[in-house]
Amino acid sequence: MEFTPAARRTIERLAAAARNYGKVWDEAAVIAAMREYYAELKVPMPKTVVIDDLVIGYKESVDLARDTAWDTARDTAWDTTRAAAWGAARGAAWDTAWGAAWDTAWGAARDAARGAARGAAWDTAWGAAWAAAIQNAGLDKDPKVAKFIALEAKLLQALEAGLGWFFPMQDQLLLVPMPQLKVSDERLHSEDGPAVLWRGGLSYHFLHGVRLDEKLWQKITTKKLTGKEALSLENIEQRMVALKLMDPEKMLKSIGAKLVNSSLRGNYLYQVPAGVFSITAWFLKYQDPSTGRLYVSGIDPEYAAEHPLADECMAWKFGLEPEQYEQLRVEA
Amino acid sequence: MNIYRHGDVLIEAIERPNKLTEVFTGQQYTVAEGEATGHSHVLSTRTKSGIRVFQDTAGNRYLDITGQARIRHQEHKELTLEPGFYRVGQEREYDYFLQEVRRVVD
Repeated sequence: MEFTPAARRTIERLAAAARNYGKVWDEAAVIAAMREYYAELKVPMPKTVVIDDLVIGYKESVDLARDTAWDTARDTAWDTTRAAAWGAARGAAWDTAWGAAWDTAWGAARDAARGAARGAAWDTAWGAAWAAAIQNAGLDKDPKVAKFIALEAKLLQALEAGLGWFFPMQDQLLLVPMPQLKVSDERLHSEDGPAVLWRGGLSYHFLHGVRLDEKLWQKITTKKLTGKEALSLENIEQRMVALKLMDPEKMLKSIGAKLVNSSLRGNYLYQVPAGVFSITAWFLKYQDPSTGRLYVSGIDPEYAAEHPLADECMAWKFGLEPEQYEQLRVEA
Repeated sequence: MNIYRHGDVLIEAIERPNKLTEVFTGQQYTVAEGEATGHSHVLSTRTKSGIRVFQDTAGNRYLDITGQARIRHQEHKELTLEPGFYRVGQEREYDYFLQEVRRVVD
């Protein structure tokens, strides 16, 4: 797509800010940008308080009153540009980072806190995408629209200076710096430390976009997890990343698994003689049609003994008759 | 009969069973959410009440889709579902440690 120079500049700034997530924290610049932002809204800025991570941010905001003047001013600015087109600028990795913090925050904070948080990254991506689309469409000549773009530019400055989230409360403006993120192939991933690290030390471990507790992450990355332990992981995504790092074939071999049947659809049925488990076990190795990721999953032993075919065992996994699975063509 | 597989979710066209309780009506419905990834399978239609969700006494879910619907997920390709009545299935597996069949947890 062709962009106007102004739109391209906005997008490039946004992309550069995203590349620097968590690497920059210039408190003075953030506060200055937020002061200008409040000034554009014609709302007095309360005192600023820097919070170490999003979880604490939510907790702190629970007992504070929301700044309704700020909300009204911001909503009015937004309403003036509602008619224009827009695009999203978030990635899957960012969604996951947000989700991890959100889950923890949700347990700690009450419902009231939910509406209080404003994600600078999210708002800025949203605002900058709007601004770029508006600039691209040549709509920024309208003074009301130009004002909105000027407003969003302030938030982009704050993001560039390292702001992650902010909570515009009545008596305090809570500022949360962006955490450090380690991303590989657009997924949160780190084999040598946390993939998400907040300024105050709160951290989350991820492998290929899958969250793990530190103990399990350590066991997987130091190759101390055994094949049997990998199969015991209840969460199939965690099992998948564990197997990915230890190689599924090697793991199956380590527990004495023998290939019994395979199909053109990429399903492989293995049998593990009694001893590893208390009974003869059956496992299916299969590939996700969209992601190409490999999974290994247990099959009901009675069913597998009676239907020792990989596709029939796959049908069992979804509660389908074998002929229904044969007809299943729409997979993603 | 239409059958769609979207990751660990299966959506199968069926005849509508009796004695169902309606639990949701709307335009967008989260069919399943992943604990470890934060990702979700989200069904949406263009019409306001285009998705109706029912449950039977065993907790099984059913979808009544009146217009064309899309199911999306952060990592899976988008699928288009034709209007119809569907059963929602979830991938299952056998746990050799607990020696029981259980729903796949992701």
